[in-house]
Amino acid sequence: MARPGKGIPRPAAGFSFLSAALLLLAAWGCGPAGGEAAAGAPAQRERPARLHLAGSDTLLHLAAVWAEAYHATHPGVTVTVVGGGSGVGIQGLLLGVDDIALSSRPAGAAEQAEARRRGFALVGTPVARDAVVVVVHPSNPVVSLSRGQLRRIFSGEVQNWREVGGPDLPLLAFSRGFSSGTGQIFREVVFGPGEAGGDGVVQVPGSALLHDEVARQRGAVGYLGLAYLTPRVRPVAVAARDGGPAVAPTPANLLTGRYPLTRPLWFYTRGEPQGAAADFIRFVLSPQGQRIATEHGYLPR
Amino acid sequence: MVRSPVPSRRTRPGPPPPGGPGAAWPPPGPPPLRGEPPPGRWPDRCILLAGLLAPAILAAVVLFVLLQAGSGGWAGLWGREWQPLGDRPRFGALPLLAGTGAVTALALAVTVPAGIGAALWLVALAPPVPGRALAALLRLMAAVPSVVWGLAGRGIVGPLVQDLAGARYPQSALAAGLTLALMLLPTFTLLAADSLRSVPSPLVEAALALGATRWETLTRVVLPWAAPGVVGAALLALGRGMGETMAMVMVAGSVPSLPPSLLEPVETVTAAIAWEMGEALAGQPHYQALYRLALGLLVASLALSAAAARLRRAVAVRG
Repeated sequence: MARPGKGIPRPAAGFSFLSAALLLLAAWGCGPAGGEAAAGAPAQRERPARLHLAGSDTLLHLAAVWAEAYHATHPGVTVTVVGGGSGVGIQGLLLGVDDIALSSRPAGAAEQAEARRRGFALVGTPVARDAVVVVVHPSNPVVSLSRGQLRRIFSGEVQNWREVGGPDLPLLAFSRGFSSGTGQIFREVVFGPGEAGGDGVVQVPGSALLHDEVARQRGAVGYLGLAYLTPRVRPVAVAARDGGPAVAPTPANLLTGRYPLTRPLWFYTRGEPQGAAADFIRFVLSPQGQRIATEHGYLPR
Repeated sequence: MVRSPVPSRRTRPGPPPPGGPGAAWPPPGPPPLRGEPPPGRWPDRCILLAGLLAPAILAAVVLFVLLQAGSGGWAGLWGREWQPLGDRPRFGALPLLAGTGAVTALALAVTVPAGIGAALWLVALAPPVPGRALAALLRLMAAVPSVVWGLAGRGIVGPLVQDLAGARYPQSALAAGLTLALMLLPTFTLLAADSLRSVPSPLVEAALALGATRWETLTRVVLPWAAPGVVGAALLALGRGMGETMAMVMVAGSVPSLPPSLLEPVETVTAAIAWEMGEALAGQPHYQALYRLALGLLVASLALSAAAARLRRAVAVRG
């Protein structure tokens, strides 16, 4: 299940599909397709370029939308995207299977060391940001929580809202599962990178299920990606440190980066991005690429 | 189900005699099921091949899990802390084993008495129409997919346990155990009823003729006679319960710590594997720990299946 090679598409099948599509294009109308390819990257006319992206499930959706938009304007380049997790993506990059690894975390020291051993460096480009919102039941009067309080709540220490400045109400904390990207950001920001934690409370298999648990129970608290917010749950402001100012996840605070529970999402390449990969990353970072990110519930980088 | 299909096949009107009008049909004695197929008969060879396929696949699965589990450092598995995250991960499986143990024990504590009662009623006491209705209902329940039971556990059993038993969360060992009991009950009841039905009627008639009441006949003659089969059914239920994954992910709560009470959330071995395998890189300690747990589950369920089959066959043969 977690073997790095799992997500590799069969090259033969992909290639034949691609050539069939190209043949079709060529037969239909050489004019516009040829002209555009010539304007974009002339060297890619004879041999179609192919970019393989793999990694973070958090980035998967956005990367797929980017790939589609890019392919619409660069029909000579086919971009394939598979998920599997950040670690799987970087492993594939090290082995030379992926062209770009999608990662929701910076590459680790062990991964960089392995890259050096193979004669290159892992170069990360932040391409977008993602935010996590802490939510409570709408009837809960608590409006803000500090990072320290979140840490105590999600390690299972806090049993009652009184302990974090709320009413006398049993506290039920719900966290996302082990492989969830949302859970990873939350753990990283609240507990710190490389720290264990966040598994002292009930794990729920899915953001929608977590939303329902919080919407149904007065004492519940959990966290969600931006896209899952509804009026049935209420976001609370988060203070980066105890006693510091609490920042609510308003659009303005999210865009300026004042809201603490955000993290960059990365494209990793073997060395500086080159050729088709560099062109694709330029597209992703362009105003059009960044607009696509905001339209799909991510924050610009 | 427990009886050999051979006798009934012989009583059924068969196809026209293959050897012409003079040949005897049905052939005398049971048809040969064991031994080498005669050479040159392709259907038989195909059947032999299909028969070999199952053990071959089983051997391949065991070998694969064994290889992935790696060697060395098995002692760490007996720790009290399951903490796969962070820079200092720990893979002590006791909390997970305790979770599986608590949930399965609870489920069997409900399923076995309730199932035996239902099976006795089905076999000995039920009027024909309600009895057939219950049997049909149980067969339907047995066909419900486990994710649907998980949803029912999450939506109905969990909140009920929370409200009535005073559990903090809707996810708890008790909720998971009761949900699992609902899942195991139909199959266990049907298998137990099967064993009870195989009690020879002369035994029952003799007991009644000697003046035993219906209750005495059931408890002193029928149940003891069928006991190995019922125990076999319980072992099958135990193996099935240990292996249940989806409902445990949804109802048990997945908190990998030794539970102070049955009202607290727990994590089962299967749920841990389901949650974490996607993030465990091949060959790493976490990956190996998960495969070791899988190996344990595999060995346990194979042993339980074998024991159950042996017990149930004993009853069938005596019948």
